[in-house]
Amino acid sequence: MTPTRPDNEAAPGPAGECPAPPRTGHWQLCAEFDSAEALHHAVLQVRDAGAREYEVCSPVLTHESLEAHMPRAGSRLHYISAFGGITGVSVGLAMCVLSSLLYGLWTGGKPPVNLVPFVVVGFECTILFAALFTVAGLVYFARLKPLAPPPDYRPGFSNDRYGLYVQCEPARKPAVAELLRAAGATEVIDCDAA
Amino acid sequence: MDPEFIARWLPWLRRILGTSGALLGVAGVAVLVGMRLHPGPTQPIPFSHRLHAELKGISCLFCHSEVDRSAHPGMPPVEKCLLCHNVIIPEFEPIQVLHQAKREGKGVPWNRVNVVPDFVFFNHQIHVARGFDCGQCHGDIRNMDRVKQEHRFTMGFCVDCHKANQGPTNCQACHR
Amino acid sequence: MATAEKETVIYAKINEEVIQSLERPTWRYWLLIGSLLGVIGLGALAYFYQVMVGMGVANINHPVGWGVYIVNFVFWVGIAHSGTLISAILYLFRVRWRTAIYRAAEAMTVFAVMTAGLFPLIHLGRVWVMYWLLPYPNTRHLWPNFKSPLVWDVVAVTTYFTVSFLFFYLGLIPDIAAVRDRSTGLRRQIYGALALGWQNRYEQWRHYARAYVALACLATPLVISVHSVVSWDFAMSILPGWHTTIFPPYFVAGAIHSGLAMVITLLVPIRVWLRLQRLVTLEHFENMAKMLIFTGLIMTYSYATEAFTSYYSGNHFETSFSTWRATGTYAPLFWGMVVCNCLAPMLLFWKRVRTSIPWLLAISIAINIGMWLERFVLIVTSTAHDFLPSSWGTYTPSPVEIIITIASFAWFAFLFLLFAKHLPAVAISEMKEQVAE
Repeated sequence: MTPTRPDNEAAPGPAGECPAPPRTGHWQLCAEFDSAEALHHAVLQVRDAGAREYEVCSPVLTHESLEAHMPRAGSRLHYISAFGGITGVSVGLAMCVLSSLLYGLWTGGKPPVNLVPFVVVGFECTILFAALFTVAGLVYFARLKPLAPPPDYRPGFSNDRYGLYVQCEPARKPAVAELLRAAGATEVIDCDAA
Repeated sequence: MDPEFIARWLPWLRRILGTSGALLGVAGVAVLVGMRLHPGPTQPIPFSHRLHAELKGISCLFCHSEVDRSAHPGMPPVEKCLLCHNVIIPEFEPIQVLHQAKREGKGVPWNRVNVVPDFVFFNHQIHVARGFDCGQCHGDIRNMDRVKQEHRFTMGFCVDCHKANQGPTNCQACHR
Repeated sequence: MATAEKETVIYAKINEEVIQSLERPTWRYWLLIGSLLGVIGLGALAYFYQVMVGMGVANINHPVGWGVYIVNFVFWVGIAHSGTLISAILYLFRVRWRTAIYRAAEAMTVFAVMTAGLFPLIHLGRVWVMYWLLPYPNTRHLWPNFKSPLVWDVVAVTTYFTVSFLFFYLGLIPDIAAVRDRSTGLRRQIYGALALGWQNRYEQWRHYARAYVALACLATPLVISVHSVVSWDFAMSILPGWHTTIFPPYFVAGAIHSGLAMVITLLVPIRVWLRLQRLVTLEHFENMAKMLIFTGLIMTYSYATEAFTSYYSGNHFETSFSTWRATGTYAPLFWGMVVCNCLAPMLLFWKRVRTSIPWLLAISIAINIGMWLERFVLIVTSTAHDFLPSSWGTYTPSPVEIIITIASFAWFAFLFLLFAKHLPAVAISEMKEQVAE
């Protein structure tokens, strides 16, 4: 649990850096908003108040303008895709070359290792592995598992509500809740009670 | 899924999967052991290759006389059996089956032991001509009473030997 | 969509509109499902008859070894292509109108590949050894021949199915979560499991966005490669009519042509049935119609080029084959194909035609028929009329083949019906995103 910093020097990490996100269920307050602007405004307020860890829920893909104000930005998933692609092309070509060397039935006067036709298999394997690695990476990074969302999740977040989760010291809860309300939250929920 | 839902159904899922997995495993092992231990198909006459080929030292070619000049090894006609068995234990009950077959003008309905898939054209003649012993494919027939198929004639079995002995490995050699 | 309203109000409306289409189905739905299952059962019976009796019950024989089964395979793989075009390529090009229809198009892709994948197996004489096609160390000491276009085809279609399924499912995750949050009881448990615990969190969205773009980038070259590989099944041989370099682009264009027509054919009834008229509008149909004109023109150009190449080659076999194709036994099919694929889409040049749903439906069905005929003409005529006059012959599908073909359409419709009733047929979160922009 990261305590709320009193000062404002808790600058978010540089864009692109993504350490593991805090475990869910570790939020103290959850505020509901009814527009993206209100949410954006509240995020700025919370950040300026010195919060280091906060999380946003949105029924749509979060807007790029918000990313700059979040603790973590971007994603490294594409490296995993690229790694998958390289694995794929290696596996595809290796499968063709090794299998025709090890199990070579020399037929039709053709050389056993013939790269031109193997390019097709190599290409398809590149795509296949890259896609599988991407999805596996997403499952890992976004912590996807076939379980119900935690109790402090609000069903409105998949419909028409925006949410802002904040970590803070228990003592500061009322003050932060007040700040959230002032920033335009339609509702503020105590996550520990949810 | 909600945790209560999972807690309610997970034991059942475990039970079902566990039971069916165990059953499948046991069945699989039983099939494999059975295939290994199976003594080969029963025959209308309990003919013993050990007695004829090992103890009495009769050549394979005496009975399977077409093996060096035909695709098929040739099963001996009833007359060839009776050549000896007219005088050797003619009253033995299984030999009576031969007499019966002779009287009816039929062959003995032997059951097939060695199976090669129908899309493989195997020719005994060339293999015998190249000097391969029957045992290379058929196993130690001389010491079998009831004959069983020693090797499964998978393509790997054929191709390994073809490669080791510079046999043809083009598709057309066996698949036509 | 009215812009005066606050965006979250529109969000709620979109949510409501899509999720209402998943309400408890009526008896009509069950009747439809039942009759489709009946037709599929009939096809299964025909197929088991073929397995029991042998390939003789299909009319494929010398000289035409590739009949209706392969025609159906190429047809269904082709249908699959426009789904990825709409979902991936148009996404990368930031085409806004794709949003309302891409989910249905993607579902169509997945189900069309699932239909297509059956046909190589149906075409196999010994289906029980179909695992011989898989690359694994085996007792045959023989691996698939990676130099063969048929093996490329297995690799390409398997990859295509996997990637388009992943793409389809990835898009569905936030929407299934939306359905989960609106349902109770067992439904909630099932959608909850399918939604993979999606919470609409920023920490999820930022990786999700990257994954979606990555998959779109991967699917784009894939979609072009798959039908190229399918075309090499033919173009790599030496038969007149098959052995030509125009095949890959020609097949890809044809695939998209047929796929777009199929999207229209499916969306017209679905949008009325699910009451999605406010989300899937006439504008979407008009845009697809415009793309149909484009692909129709490519098809016309390809047909012309094909004829011209064979004439200009001066090769006697090529010229006589092209002449026979246009005038011989299969001439009615050939000209039917030209009318359906080249002339019918030209009617869409008139705005009156392309903004009229009945016309659009009629034309898209005509294109579907035309594209099926094209595959039939391509595949059957070349083998029926090769180099040696002594080996010329003809082919007509047998009852078993016809029943299996009809059943394949029922199978496709069955899967699509299940999708439309049980999964959000319009991309909820992306529709909202478009409102937000």
